[in-house]
Amino acid sequence: MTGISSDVIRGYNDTMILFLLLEKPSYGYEISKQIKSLSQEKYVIKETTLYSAFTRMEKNGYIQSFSGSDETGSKRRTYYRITEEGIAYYKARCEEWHLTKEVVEKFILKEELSHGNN
Amino acid sequence: METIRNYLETMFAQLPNSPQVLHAKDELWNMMEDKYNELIQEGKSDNEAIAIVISEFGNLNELSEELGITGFMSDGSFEKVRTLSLQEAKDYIRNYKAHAFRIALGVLLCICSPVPTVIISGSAFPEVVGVMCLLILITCGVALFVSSGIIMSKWEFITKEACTIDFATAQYVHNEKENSRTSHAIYNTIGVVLCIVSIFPLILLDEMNFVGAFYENIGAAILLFLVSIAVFLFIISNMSQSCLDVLLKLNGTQTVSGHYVPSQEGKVPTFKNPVVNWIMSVYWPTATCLYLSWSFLTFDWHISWIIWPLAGILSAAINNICDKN
Repeated sequence: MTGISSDVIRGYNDTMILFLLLEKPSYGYEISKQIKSLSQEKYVIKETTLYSAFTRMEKNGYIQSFSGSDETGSKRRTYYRITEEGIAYYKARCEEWHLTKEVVEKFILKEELSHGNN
Repeated sequence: METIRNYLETMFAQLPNSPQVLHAKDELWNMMEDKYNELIQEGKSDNEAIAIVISEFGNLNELSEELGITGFMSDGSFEKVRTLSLQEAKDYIRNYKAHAFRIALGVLLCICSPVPTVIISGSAFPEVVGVMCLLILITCGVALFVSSGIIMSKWEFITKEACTIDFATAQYVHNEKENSRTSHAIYNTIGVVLCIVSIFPLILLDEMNFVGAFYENIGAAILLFLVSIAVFLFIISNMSQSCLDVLLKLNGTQTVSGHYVPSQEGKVPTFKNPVVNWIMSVYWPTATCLYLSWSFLTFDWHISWIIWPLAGILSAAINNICDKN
């Protein structure tokens, strides 16, 4: 089986990150871990991709960063929380995905393609 | 963990030293550290954990827009720089120290070359023997210079091409420099002491009223010999230091790698005016020359020290009048 093409999924990194931030503010590694487990290890986000998404979305005002530490307080990290604009953007992306899925779905064969027939 | 740190530092080494770049490096490092720690807790071996972290790191080209380095990444200057490995740096330091030894020995032979002539001129030996010895010593010295220069020419690329050293190498060189600080100080101190002591035999022999040119010549020969040993020590210790500095200065201060060894970053302040700069570079040697020639020619040691306070005040005045960069 072929893995996910990073070109295709790139457009949905923002959606995934915002989905996770809807629940609670979080930091880099936690988000990458959750993406890995939610996708049942079918998609592993690269560190550079994640960082790039954070900076881009923060610039657009979808998320805000703040410095914090976890329960043990052992290490300070940059946390991110979603903003109002981020929630609106997330909803728009969800609608867009439904539409995209609907359209692309029409062009996907339901059965295995058999070769050699006319 | 060290491997991961080194990997990240190497990836960032040639990038400009901007706040965005440094921030990105810190954030990426945090993520990698978290991931590594968790993999280790899950029971992965050190090597496995490092392999996973590095394979999932991604590509810095992806960040070029966020970091404001798009032009930098595309004009190719990113790949052109050659990185010296730790082993190459160690080889360079070892070869350079051997080179320093040969040069210092060559200089020692050249300075000592008149010694046989000087001794012989006061004795019964024919003078031609002395001249022969002089020529032989100088030939040996020059042979050392030439051969050593040829041996070292294979390292020329370090100063001629764009080179850089990675994080681990910079740490190693920096430690070498710290470790050699004591021996550097000892060599230089012994050198200075020898220079001062070198005049004693001449004065002593003179005081003791030994008659005859032979004793005077012996004094001069000892002086030359002691000075040559002092110069030998100066050269060895300063060349060993300067080869470490060459390596440490390879990393441009405008790039992330310039941060590896902060203590080496500050350049010596120089004067804006090149003429003043040139004068100041020979200022203290000139003062020393003046002091010694005045004192030795007139033996007015009781007053010639006045040169030092005067020179100090003058140098302070020049520093204040001509701005430094």
